[in-house]
Formats: sequence, C-alpha cells, structure tokens
Amino acid sequence: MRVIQVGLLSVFLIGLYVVALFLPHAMDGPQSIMNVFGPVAIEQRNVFMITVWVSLFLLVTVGSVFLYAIFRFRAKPGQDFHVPEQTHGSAKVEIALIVVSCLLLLVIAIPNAKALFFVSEVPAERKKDAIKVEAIGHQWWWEFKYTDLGITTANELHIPVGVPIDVQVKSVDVIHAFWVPNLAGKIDATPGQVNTMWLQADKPGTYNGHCTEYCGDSHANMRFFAIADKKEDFEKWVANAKADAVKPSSIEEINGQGVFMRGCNSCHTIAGSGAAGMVGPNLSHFAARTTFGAGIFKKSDDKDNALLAKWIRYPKEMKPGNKMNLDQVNMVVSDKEVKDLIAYLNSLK
Amino acid sequence: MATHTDVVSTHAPLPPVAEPGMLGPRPTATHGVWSWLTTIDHKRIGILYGVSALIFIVFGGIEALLMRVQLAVPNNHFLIGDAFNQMFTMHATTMIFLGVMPLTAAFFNYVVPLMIGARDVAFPRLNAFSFWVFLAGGVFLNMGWLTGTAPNGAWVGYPPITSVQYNPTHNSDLWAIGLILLGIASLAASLNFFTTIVNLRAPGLTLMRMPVFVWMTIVTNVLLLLAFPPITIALIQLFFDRNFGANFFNPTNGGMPIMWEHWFWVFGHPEVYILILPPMGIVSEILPTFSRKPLFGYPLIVFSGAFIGFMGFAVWSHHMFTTGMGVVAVLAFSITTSIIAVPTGVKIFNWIGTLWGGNLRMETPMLYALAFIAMFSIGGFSGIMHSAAASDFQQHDTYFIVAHFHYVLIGGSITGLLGGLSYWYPKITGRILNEKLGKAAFWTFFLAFNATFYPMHIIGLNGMPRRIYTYNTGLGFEDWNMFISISAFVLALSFLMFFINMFWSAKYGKVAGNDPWDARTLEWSISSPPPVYNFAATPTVTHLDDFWHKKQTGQPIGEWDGQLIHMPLQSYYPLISGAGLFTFGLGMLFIRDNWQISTVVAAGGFLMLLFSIYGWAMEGPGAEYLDPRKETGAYN
Repeated sequence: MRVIQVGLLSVFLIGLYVVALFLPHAMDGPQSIMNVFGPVAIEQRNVFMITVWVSLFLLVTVGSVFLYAIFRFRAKPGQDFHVPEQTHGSAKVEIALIVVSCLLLLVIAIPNAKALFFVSEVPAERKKDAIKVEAIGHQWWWEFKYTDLGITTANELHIPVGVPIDVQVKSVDVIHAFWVPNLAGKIDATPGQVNTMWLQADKPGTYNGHCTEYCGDSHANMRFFAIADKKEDFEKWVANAKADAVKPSSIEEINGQGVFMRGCNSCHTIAGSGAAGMVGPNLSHFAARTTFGAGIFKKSDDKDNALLAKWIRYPKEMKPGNKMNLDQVNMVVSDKEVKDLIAYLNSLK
Repeated sequence: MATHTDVVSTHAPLPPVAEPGMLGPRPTATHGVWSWLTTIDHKRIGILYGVSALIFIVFGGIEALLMRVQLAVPNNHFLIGDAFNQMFTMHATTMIFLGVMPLTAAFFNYVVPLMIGARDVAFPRLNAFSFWVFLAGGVFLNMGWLTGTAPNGAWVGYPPITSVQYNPTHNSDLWAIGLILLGIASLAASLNFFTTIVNLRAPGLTLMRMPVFVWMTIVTNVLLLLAFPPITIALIQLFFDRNFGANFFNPTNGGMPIMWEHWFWVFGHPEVYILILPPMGIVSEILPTFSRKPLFGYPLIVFSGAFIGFMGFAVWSHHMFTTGMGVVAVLAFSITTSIIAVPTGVKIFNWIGTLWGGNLRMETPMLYALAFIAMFSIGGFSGIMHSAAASDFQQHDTYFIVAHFHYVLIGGSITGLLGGLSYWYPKITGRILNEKLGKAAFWTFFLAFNATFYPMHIIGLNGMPRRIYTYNTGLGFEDWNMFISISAFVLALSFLMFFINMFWSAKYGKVAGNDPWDARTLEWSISSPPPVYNFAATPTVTHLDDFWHKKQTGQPIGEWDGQLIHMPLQSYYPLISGAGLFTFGLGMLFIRDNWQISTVVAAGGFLMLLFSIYGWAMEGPGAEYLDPRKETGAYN
C-alpha cells in the first residue's frame, strides 16, 4: 500500500519535471524567456541554465539520499519502540558539505558576474552603433522616443535587426517595468529616475512585451511589441515615421479630422495637423501600427473596425481604468462621427 | 505531572484579597466569553492566535480561489481590474500578516513557555495586548471589503501607486493603519518572547540545551524587533504623504519612490525569514521525535538559523535587482543572497542526518515534516536560481517567482505549521488527530500543492507576468492555468479535511495522555492540556532533550514541593488598550475627509489607550495562589 502511494507520488513529481524540462515546446511560447532571439536574453538564459543544472544536481543527490534515508530507516512493523543509537552529528561530514556547497555557488557566481556586466550596458565597442530609445511608461501604455531620430511613437517599438538598442526607461506616473522576454530581461520605469538597459534582436519578427511592475487597474493590459525589421525595412519605417501625418483627403477623413480636433487633440498628437496633446499616445502614424489599445487589440482581428469604434465610444469598458475619457473633454460623438473618425485614423499611414 | 502529595507546606502564603483595578474588581471568569477576553494565560492566548490565524487563512484562501476562477481561462470577465487587484493585495497581506505570522505566534505562545519550563511568558498582560492589537489590525485590513475599497496597492505597496494621487479612496489608508497596528502587536510580542526566553528558562536549561524551536523563536523575535521599525516608519511616511501632503515618496515634489522600496525590503526580507524560521524550528522538533534520535548537528542547526536571520538584513535588495541600482550593488546583493544557500543547505543536510540511522515512525506530523524538507528544498533551488541576478532580470515579477515563494511559504511555512498543529494538537486538546483522516488530508495537500504551484514555474518561464488579471490566448498559458485552478480547489479541499479533522478529533479523537509521541522536550512531561500553571514543580534540566534523557535513564521528573503556586491575575486593560488603538486608527482613517470628527474619534481612542495604560500600571500583575491538587485543565 505504502509502496504504491510513494510510487504514484514519485511518478507524479518526476512527470512534472519531465514536462517542464524535456517536453518539446513546453516553454516555447511567444513570450518565453527560454526561446530567445537576442544576445542579452541568450546570455541570461545561459546563466539560468547553469543554475538549473546546479539545482538539478543538488536535487538528484540530496533527494536520493533523503528518499533512501526514509525507506532504509523506517520503523519495521512491531519495532515502533526500538531506540536507535543516539548519535549527535559529525564535524567531518558537516565541513565537507559546507565546502561543497560553497564551491557549487562559485560555479554560478562567476558566470553570473560576467553576464551581469554584459547585460547591463551596451558593450563599449558597439556603443557608437547603438540606437537610443527612451521608453516612457504611462498608465497603461508605452511611449517610445527615438531621441536621435526625432521620432515619437507608442506601444510598437521598431528596431533594426542586429543593432544594439540603448533603452532609457522612464515613467511619468507610477512604477512600471519594461520587458521584452524574447530579447532581454526587464528594468523598472520609476518616476523621477532614468534606468538603462539594452537589447538587440538577431532575427526579424514581432516580439511580445509586457509591463511587469504592478501599476494599477490595467496592469494586465499594458502590453507592447518590439518589432525587429530588416535594415532596409527599418529605414523605410524611420522615413515614414519622421514625416508629418498624411493630410486627410476624402470627405469622411476631413470630417473625421474635424471630430478629432473637438477634443481628442487635447491629449493626442498628430504631427502636422495642429493636434499636439501630450497625455495620450502619439497617433501621427496610427494606421501604420498593427495593434491599438496598448497592444490588447490586433487590427487583424478588427477588419470591420467594430472594436475600434467600441474603443472610442466606451473606452473604460474595453480597458479598466482607461484614462481616455470623452466626457472629460466634453465630447459627444454620434455613430457617424465615430465612423468619420475611424476613417481619418485609418488614413494616418 | 508532578506527583500529588498530601502535605501542604506550612510556608505556603495565604491567598490575599484580590487587588482592585481602576474598573472595580479584576476579572476572575474561568469560563465563557469573559474568561477569553480577559485572559493572560499564554496557552489561551496561543489558542486565540491560532484560531484567528486559521480563520484569516480561510479568508486568504477564498481570495486565492476567486483569483484562480478569473485566471482559469484567457480573457475572462469574472473579476477584472481593481477588484482583482484588491484580491491579490489582500490575499498576500492576509496570508503573510494574518495567517502565517499569527500561526507562528500561536506556537510561540503555546509551546515556548512549556518547552522552557516556565509558568507563563515574562509579561502576560503585554502578551494579551499583542493579541488584541493584532486582531484590531486584522479587522482594519479587512474592513475595506465592506465598502469595496480593500487595499489594492499589492502587498509591497510601492508608491506612487499607493499615493493619494493614484489611489484617492481609503484603500491604502486602511492598509497603512492596519499594518502599523500589526507592527505594534509584533513589536510588543517580540520583546515579550525575547525576555521570556532569556529570563524564564528552567534551572539547567542553558542556551545550548534549548530545543531548536525555542532557538528559532528567539531568532525570529530579534528579526521582528529589528525589521518592524523600518516598515512602521515607512508606513507613517506613506500615511503622511497621503493625508498631510508630506512628499516623502512623491517624485513630482522631489520625493523618491525608490526610498520606499528600500524601506519596505529592509523589512520585507527579514519578514520572509520571520515566516520560515519558526516552521524550521517545528520541523527540528518533529524529526528527532519521530526518528527517535537527537537532532543531527544541533549546534550547526542553531547557528545556521541565527546566521540566516543575520543575513536576512544583508540581502533585501535582491527584491530590487531591476530597479536600476547599478551593476555593483546588484552583484553584491546577488552574492550575499547566494551565501544564504549555505546555512539553509546545512539545515537540510542535518535534517537528513537526523533521519539517518533512526527508527522512523510515519505518523502525520512526521509526514508534514518530511514534506517540508522536500518542498522547501525545491523552493530553495528556485531561490538559488533567483540569486543569479543576471538571469533574475528575466524571472523577476513572473509566475516563476510566484511558484518560488509559494514553494517556500506553503511548501515550507504552511507545511511546517500544519505539521506543528498535528504534533501539538494532542497537547493542546488532550486528544490525537484522527490518523486516517490526517493522512488523507496530508496526501491530498501534498499532491494538490505540487499540482497547483509546480506548473507556475512553467508558465513563468513562458513569460506570464504576476499580478495580471487577464492574459491572451496563444501564449502557452491557458492549459496550465486551467490545470492550476482545478488543483487549487483540490488544495482547498485538503485544508477543509484538516479543519474537519480538528473539529472531529476535539470531541472523538483518541485520548492523548501526557506524551503520545514518546517525545523529547519538557512540554510532554505534563498533562494534556496542561494545567494553568504548567509545571507544578519547575523542572531541573541536565541535558539536551532532557525529558527524553530522563525517560531513558529512568530518572524522576521533579516533585511538587507543596508550596501553593503564584499566578498573575486576569485583566481588562489589554483588551481596552487594543480597542483604544483600533479607535485611534479609525479616527485617523478619515482625517482628510472630515478632520473635526476624525480628531474627536482619534482623541477618544487615544484617551482609552491612556486610561488603560494607567489602569494597567496601577493594578499591577496581581496574584492568586493555586493548589495543584484542586486544579484541572487550563481552559474549559
């Protein structure tokens, strides 16, 4: 009976470990810290794997001695009151174990120290190539400023492949944390303080980002993307992003701009249109983004613009605590006006 | 129990007339509600702590289950935004401050005086005061549920998210005042236990003959004494920021949010050891008893515990690796953190050494102790992983961390405490927990615990941040989250089984006798439950595990000398002063809404406190003289 219990238990526990470590794709999710695409994250994963192997070594050695002791020394039936030899300890064993533990820690400590210096700052020889980006946390979205390129955008960080990005992380309200798990570990965005980190993508692609410091109602909805482009694609993106917004052409778009200027402009900027609000995301190239609402809604899921319309009409339902508030700027919009507004926004390539 | 003798010494003083307090005669109730409200008996206070802690653990458990319902499926709408945030804030605050801490305090209270052969703690009324203030703090923290504004700034409460600008209702005021009250309770208790252990040990019970649980108690209470002042200061600063515009943590006026993080973790990390050291002590009592062998490497276990406590103050910034402290600071804290693995490892090796060559009896307390070693080790391994700061930048604030600290706090602390409950339950109630139901509860707990928290490692490595109320499909989170939520309900079932067992066995359990486990320490030498005065004859200690030694060598345990036993009297004042502090807090809570009424209420509370302090001082400890031949159990 006992043997069955313990057997089942061991199978269960070993099963969990096997799933965790060896099941293919168990940890290959799109946001995984194990399945990584940049030098910083690779370095961090390598250190992590060292800690995993050291821990596994300890688990197996200490664990088997532990299990052996439990089985070997359990009271035999009828011997419940047998009193074994009253030993008090062994200095030799203790010292040996302490020394071994310290050595094992060194196995971790040295690569950890090396990696720590590497991941904290763009390596000196590559500094001149690095692109400087300010990542500014807001409740609940990210603003990205390319200080040298003169670009301001939101929630989608375009970067060229193979180029180190020197990220200055700030916040305008509460503490957030900037994190793109596939590319690099996180750093806090603390108001009144500038923190730095760097990342680099070795492969083109869209990498998930998430705020990882609890920041209020919609912390769960504070998502973003790092989009790594090939060099020429990135340059095209830069050229477009630097330019002023497209002027409205159709009658709907012109009407839409009119609606925008009735209140949206007090929080949002559209470069070249006169709208210069600084509270909300910069919408100059809204149509060039693939998502809206701080990365919660994919435009590919919203071909008929129903979600976007709902977002404009009922922002708080779409995202708890949403600071976008039409009442605050005394905006009343009709269905037609929302349609015009969407047409205008979607023209902002 | 001491042998009864028919001869009462002629030197026995006669009971004097009860001294009156400021409220007329002192309370004398031995039965019913008033006997509990006015008690100063460490055993009763221990039970009060234990029962309140278990009730709060049920609260915290319900909060956890509600969160698990929300997280079971992606994009769920069961509990979103602020409601979810209140839930996780209160889950953590409740489990740490109102669950595990008071449950350890229950054992300090009940067991430590018995283990050191004392008749009570050094300051019995202060002990009652600690409990009532703790209860006031617990009620305060939970009051917000009534208005839907429970604390919502996470248990770490980092401003500015807890500042009045981003948190304009009373959520964080409740949190700050509640925690300040709990801090007062803990500080009073820590002084009390420190004094008790230093001064009230039985003759011959030298420091290095103390049971390890007593050692861990003294280390824990030193940690409490040193860790609570920083958090109390920080909470008062936060309260001043919120209510009087003080700007300690307000970056727009030159305050520094990072300062709070340092204050908080200078407290917060020792706090983690405050939660784990007592269960380590409990396990160090259970293992020798059920192995029938002395603890392997007793001095090393003791010094490791003390060293862990000391190092607790040298590692706080490992909670802050991502705050931009600079590489050198991060590396330094990374190294100090990894050093803690050594004394912790030493403890685990020595526990295994205790098993080695023993005669192990697999009764329920032993199962919990063994599970403690296994689960705490796994939590320790992920701890080693976090100590490597370079990779911690990735794991920080993900479910990997959630998995880690639940392994040390449930797999460690709670497992140890449940073991302690099973172990000392016969001493407390006089009956043994039903073994069948106990084992069933244990195995359910053990399996469900691993099923709940192990997968969190996986979703953590898959990049699921903590403290999020929703997540999207396609990230590799949804299957495991469903699995975790189902397991969490099974885990809750195991607690239910444990509680049912406690109720059932209190009435129908096997009668325990003095020493049901053939144990090693002094508390088992007296009746179960022990009499009010604990020891009719103060024991004289000559060895480590003295009771075991006496049993093995056939030596008698001390005999009553015929003197009537002097015990202090009950008192109303601890309760009144607790109520006074509660009222004072209540007044302060509304200070920025209506300062006139608030000031009146706060002043009323302060006067109650002042009145009870004077009453307390003037009534004195009092004295009654008990005859062991006429007394029975401590509580009825």
